[in-house]
Amino acid sequence: MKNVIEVKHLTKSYKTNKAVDDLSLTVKEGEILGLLGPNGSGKTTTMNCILSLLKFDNGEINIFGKEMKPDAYDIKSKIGVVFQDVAVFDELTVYGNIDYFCGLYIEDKNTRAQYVEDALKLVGLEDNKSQYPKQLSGGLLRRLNIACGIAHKPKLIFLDEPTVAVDPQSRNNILEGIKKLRDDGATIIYTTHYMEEVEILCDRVIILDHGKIIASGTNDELKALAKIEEKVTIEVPELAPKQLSGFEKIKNVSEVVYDNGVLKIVYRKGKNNLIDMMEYLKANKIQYNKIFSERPTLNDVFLELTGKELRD
Amino acid sequence: MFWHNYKYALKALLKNRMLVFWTMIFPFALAMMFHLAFSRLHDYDVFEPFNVAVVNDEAYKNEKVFSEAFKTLGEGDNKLFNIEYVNKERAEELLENGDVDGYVYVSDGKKIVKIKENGTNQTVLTMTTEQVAQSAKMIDDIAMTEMAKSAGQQVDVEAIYRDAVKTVTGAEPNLKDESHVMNIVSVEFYSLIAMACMQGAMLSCEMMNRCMPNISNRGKRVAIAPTRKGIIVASNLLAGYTMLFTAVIALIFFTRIVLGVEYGDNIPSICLLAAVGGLAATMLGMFLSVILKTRESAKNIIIVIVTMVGSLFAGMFGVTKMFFDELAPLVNKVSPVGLITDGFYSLYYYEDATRFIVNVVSLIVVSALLFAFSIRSLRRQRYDSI
Amino acid sequence: MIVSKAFWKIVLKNIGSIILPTVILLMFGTISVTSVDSTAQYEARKPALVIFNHDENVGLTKNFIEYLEENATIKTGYEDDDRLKDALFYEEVTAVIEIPENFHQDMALGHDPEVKMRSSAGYVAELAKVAVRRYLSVAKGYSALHLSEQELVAKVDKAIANGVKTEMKAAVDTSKYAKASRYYSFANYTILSCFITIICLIMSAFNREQVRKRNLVGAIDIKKMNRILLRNCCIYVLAAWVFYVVISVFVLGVEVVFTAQGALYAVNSLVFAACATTIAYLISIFALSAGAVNGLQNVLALGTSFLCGAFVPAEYLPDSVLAFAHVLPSYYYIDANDKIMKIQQFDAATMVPILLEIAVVAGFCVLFVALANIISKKRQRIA
Repeated sequence: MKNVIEVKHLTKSYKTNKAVDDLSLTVKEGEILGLLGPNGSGKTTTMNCILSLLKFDNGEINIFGKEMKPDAYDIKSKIGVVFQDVAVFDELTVYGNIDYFCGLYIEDKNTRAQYVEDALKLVGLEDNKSQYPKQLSGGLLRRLNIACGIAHKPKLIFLDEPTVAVDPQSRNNILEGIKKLRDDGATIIYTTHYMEEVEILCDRVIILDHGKIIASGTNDELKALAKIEEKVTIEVPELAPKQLSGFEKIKNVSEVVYDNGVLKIVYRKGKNNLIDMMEYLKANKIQYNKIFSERPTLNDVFLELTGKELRD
Repeated sequence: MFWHNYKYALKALLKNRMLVFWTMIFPFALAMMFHLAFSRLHDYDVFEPFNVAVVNDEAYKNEKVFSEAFKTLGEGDNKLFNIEYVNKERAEELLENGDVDGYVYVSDGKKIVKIKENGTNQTVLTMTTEQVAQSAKMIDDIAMTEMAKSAGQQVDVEAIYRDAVKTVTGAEPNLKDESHVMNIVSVEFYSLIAMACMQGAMLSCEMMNRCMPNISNRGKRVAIAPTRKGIIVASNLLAGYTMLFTAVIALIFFTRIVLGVEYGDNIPSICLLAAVGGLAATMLGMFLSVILKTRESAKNIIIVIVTMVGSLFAGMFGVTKMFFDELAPLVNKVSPVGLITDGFYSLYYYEDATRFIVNVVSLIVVSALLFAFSIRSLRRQRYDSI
Repeated sequence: MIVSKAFWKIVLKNIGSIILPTVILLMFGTISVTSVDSTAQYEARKPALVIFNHDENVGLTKNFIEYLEENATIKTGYEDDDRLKDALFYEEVTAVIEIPENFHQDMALGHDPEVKMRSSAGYVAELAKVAVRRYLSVAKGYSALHLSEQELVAKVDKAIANGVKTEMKAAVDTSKYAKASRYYSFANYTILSCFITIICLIMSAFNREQVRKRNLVGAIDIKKMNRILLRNCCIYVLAAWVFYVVISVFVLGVEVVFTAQGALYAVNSLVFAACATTIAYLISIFALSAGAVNGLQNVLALGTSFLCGAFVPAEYLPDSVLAFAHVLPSYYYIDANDKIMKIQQFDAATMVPILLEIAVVAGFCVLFVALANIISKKRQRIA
């Protein structure tokens, strides 16, 4: 697969603060790449540098094999961007907004009319096309924002936290739409701090912190980094200290924490760990209410790598 | 692409209630206020007769020529006063109650005007009385001199007085009035048109903000589109200018046709000046919008201050333009407001059009410079932060 | 207490937006009061003349110039014609008089020489014209007698001197307070614009939809809250008013401000300031956007200033406009200012009308507060 974007040694600082620090990445054709990181980790700055909106101190950026510059119009014509903040005209209708922004790319009127209809359908705003942005709910406004960014059917799409403060229904609609865009052949860069979305959506994930890539790979590759196989949580109303230390001796258990009636057990390796656990509980006649087991999340990966939670 | 952007920019402008208010409603509202406030000043040479009392005692009746002449001022269609002949006490009472603006009486041959306060009517009364008294004195004087010349002979006193009256009233002074007096009301409306032109700065700043990624999100969209910045900027500005120009021309014709403001035969020149003036204001707004790297609201405040100071220097706030011309001669030579006001002024004050043309050309040059400078710093721009 | 605290926090947060318009308005307000503006020409002023004498300064010519010097201020230094034109336009010079060659001889011989005159617009120019015409017509009238130039000069002098005496009913000079009246009447614009902008800015922070909802569900009585807000607005306004009065000392001088009239002006403006506050308060209930407030403020401040005689004196306004102006509080405020200027003695006859007008403005305050309470009560349920 071809590389659509190649970023080499990108560095960008705001006064004393290094927002992007010697960052290199590649994006392959047809994939959804997730840029994951906490607020202020440099996701949006990286994106704005790639788009040639921002000056940067150092580095090289190639898109579709050519150097990206403010006047690289042939490259720009194949890019669609959905910004974090809603960027629409309050004075224009839903249809007018999409038509306007699409018109900056597509000159032919008939093609454009078709494209605008397609975009409306994709985000599910067919019934709202003559409304003004002020009349839309937060979620619908976000959808309009997306439609404005992708109506011209770009080959490469940047989505910067498109689901912030969006109701679940709109969020599902948006995520479905993004998958559809990928299925239609677009390459997508998806910036977010919601790890769940990345897990559902992205083929590959890059985790950023303090402007640096701290990990990258597929979901499974990343999770392997967490060195956690399984996490088991058991509600245990009462537990004697002796019983507690017994947990640590169970096979494969690497960490046990008991706090406020909740017992958390982490396994670094092994399969079918829960069976041993149940036996131990039965053997020691420990009363328990609920019991559940989880696979590690990207948050665990982040925690493992940085020592802090992904979300504050 | 140009027209696509132009179409939508214009559409968005017309939907923007604030901008529509400031460019298309506010100047008209101001024009109406001017009209209402100045409608009496407009024809202030058409006097309405006002009430005057005369103390009709023996002393007054003795001043035959004076009293006769004064009487005529209260007669006919063009009368100056409504004269009421009363005694002194009554006259005093009338003045006290404000029923008359003043009264006239004679004491020891001296004519006295008594008034309560200073004002236009009071001045008219005083000056007219003075004139009448003087003419009366001259008539007496001339008649006496004539009679003295023919001393000892039989004289026709009536005829001599008739001749004397003729001499005095016929003594129309040979004073050639070369004043170019402009109706002060029209001057106010010229200021209004200049102000309306200056709204262009506000409009173009708004239009520029829409295509600048460091100011608005919409600007970011425009910046990543494969369209030349110049085309977007130019069509945005043209849309703003279209709206401004339409509003200003409409204002000129509104004041002329609906409010009946006198512009003489200068209407085409006024429209031309408004067109280039609006252009210069538009370019000023663009320039400020480009060089100021601050928030949108701060930009707006700075633009208001710049245009206000320009208007101050152009003499719109009471202190004359002359004062500032001597204080800082260059300002009004480059400031769009200064050039627009000077253009209007030269339109009717100078017979040859040189000064007017200089103003128009200066406005075009200033516009071109502002445009060139703005474009230079806009091109291929990447931002330090957005 | 908590409401007041929030109020002043918002004031401090917006201190920039408060200082800027205040400074701008005061600057322009002060300039327009101290400078010669178009309204000033209605007061008797001495014309400023420029004389170009192409004749010798002897005989009748000398007499003519002396006459002009007596009745006008003579200005020099206008040899440049463009500068002269500017000076005429801006009324720095009232008129230019050009005396032709051989004027004194030609006049004495009854040849009727032509005197040229260019004048500026306005009332003073008309006065200057009348004065010049007067001299020339007297000279021409006597020239019919074919006198020697010496005799002619004597006759003209005598006739001109035979003026009319003007008596003023009372010796009080209203011009002393004319400037004060103008300052305070202009304040109609300043007070309305400043207070509407600033109070709306602060209050809209409280009335903004989301915050308003929160206030409505809160335990505090909406009427009580309005009272607290209004009280704080008043404190703010009071401070601003004191500031305007202090400025007036610099603009008008101690001898005007610290008099009974000065006190009346201050009281009148205080009541009007209160009225402007209630107007602003009423507007702020609608929680308009900053842009809308700006527009409304301009229309109200400029509109009332034009229609009620803050810019153009009321006596020059058409009766129909004045009749309409009676529904506006500004009218009573400005009219009271004019009446204060004309006070000659403090008795019931002069004071009652002024106090009545102040009372009318106070009445408007009550009306606006009542309206505000009714409307905000109605808006207690969000529509």
